[in-house]
Amino acid sequence: MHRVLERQYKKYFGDSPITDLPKNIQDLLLTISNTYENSDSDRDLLLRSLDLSSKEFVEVNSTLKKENEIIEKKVQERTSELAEEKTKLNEIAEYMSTGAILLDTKGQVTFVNKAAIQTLGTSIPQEIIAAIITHFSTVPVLAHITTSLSGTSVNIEEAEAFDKIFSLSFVSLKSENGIFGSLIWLNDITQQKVLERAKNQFIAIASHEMRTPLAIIRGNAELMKDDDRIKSQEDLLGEVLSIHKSSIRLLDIVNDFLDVQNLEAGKVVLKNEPVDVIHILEDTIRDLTPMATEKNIYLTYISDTKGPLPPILLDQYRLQQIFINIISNAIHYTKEGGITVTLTRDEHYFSLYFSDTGAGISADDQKRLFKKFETGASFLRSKEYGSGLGLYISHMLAALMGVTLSLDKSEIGKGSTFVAKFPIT
Amino acid sequence: MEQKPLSPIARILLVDDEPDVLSLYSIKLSRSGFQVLTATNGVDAITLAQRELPDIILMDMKMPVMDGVTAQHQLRENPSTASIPILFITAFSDPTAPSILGDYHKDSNVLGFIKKGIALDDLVREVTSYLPKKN
Repeated sequence: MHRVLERQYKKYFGDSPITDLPKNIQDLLLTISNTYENSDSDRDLLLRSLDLSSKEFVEVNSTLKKENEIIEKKVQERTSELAEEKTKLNEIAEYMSTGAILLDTKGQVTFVNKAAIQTLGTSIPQEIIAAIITHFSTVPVLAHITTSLSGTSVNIEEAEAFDKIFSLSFVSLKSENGIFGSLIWLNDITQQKVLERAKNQFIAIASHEMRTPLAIIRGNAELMKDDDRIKSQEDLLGEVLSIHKSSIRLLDIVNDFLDVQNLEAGKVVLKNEPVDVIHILEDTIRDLTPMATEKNIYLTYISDTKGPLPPILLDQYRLQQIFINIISNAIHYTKEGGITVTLTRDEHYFSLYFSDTGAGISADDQKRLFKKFETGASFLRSKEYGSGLGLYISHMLAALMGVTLSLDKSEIGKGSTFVAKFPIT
Repeated sequence: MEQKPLSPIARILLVDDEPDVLSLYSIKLSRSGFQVLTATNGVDAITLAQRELPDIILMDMKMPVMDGVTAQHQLRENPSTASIPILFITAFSDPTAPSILGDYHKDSNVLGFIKKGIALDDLVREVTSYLPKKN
């Protein structure tokens, strides 16, 4: 009999055996006992089952936990990667040379990088757009912002502001969800434009300088082939001489322009050989004397030093080019008197002074003496001899050889003195 | 072919600092029937224009002492020379390009530009076309 029923039995029937009870009662008790037993057995089953479930749950739970940890770790890694990417992008945006201004869909400034702040002179979001409008007065800034916020980007190739040249872009920012803002780029293209203009200017001036001798050559050739005219020997000679002179001038101009191109590109390779400078000078003077004689002016050399000069490491051909340039310039600008080249020497240098009794150089012209070109009104009044590049080339060549070429003094109507200083090593 | 002499003879003031240019265009223009006066800078050109009152002025732009653009301004301002047609003859490929003259050309109100290197017959034709009609 089940233990619970047995306790109840003893309570009601004491120690009297069950067999003393009527048969139907015995059967009832037996059925109840079985029910108890069955119930116990069910409960055991349930408990065992529960116990098992619990173990499985723990296992599943542990697996889930591990999975979760892996995911969390991955999320953490990815988040940190993304943060790193974002930091990098932010750094790039912040420090790139192009100014960047980010606007939201309402046109409010949400980001301005350092370049933009530096250009516009303000970091206050509310002032940024106003600064762009004020300084880029030729650009309809607000209209372009509106256009970009409605989906179409706008590019302005060139706009001047803050004494610089910029290219501007109003970029429409779009994602799958639609337009999310506008990005304004401020790109300083001053340097690029300056180079471009210098190149255009160089070409314009080169063609200007070449056109005059070409016009003289063409015109004189036309005069020569003019059939209706009775040609005198004198006329023909004059025309031929004019063509000859202009063709030499043209060649000199082409050579000067090539020299400038090569010098500026660092393509001129100079020899470094011991040179007797005075010998080169005397050669040059001898070559140019007929040019001076033709103008009825003198060209002389005076040495203030005693004894020969030590040879100096130079490029003989280029040194002569400098001498020819300075002396022929002096002859060109001198109507009366002449040119005297004087040699002086001290401990560290010997110097050649090229003094003429010519027109002199105005203070304005002195400023641009060794420079390439001048534009604007002063260029219109300038009168160069040859290509106008001779002194610029000579100055650069001298510097490459360690020789200092400068204007010593000049007075309008009285003359000029150039000096070349050679270091004694 | 030489152009027929102009009747009555037109007087042209030719201004250029290049002696060879001055000589070349003087020969051609005088052979084409012009009476040619010459000057080598803007200052001399103004003096000569005021004294001689030529029918037309053909002037270089880039000259020392006084450039052609400045001389043109001054000739325009003076009532005696204001109505003389002034043409520029220049070696500039694009005489109005700011790369060379900055904005210096802007208010110059130029009648016409002739490029150096033009065929001599075309030069004469061009100049003649700008001559004021005489009754």
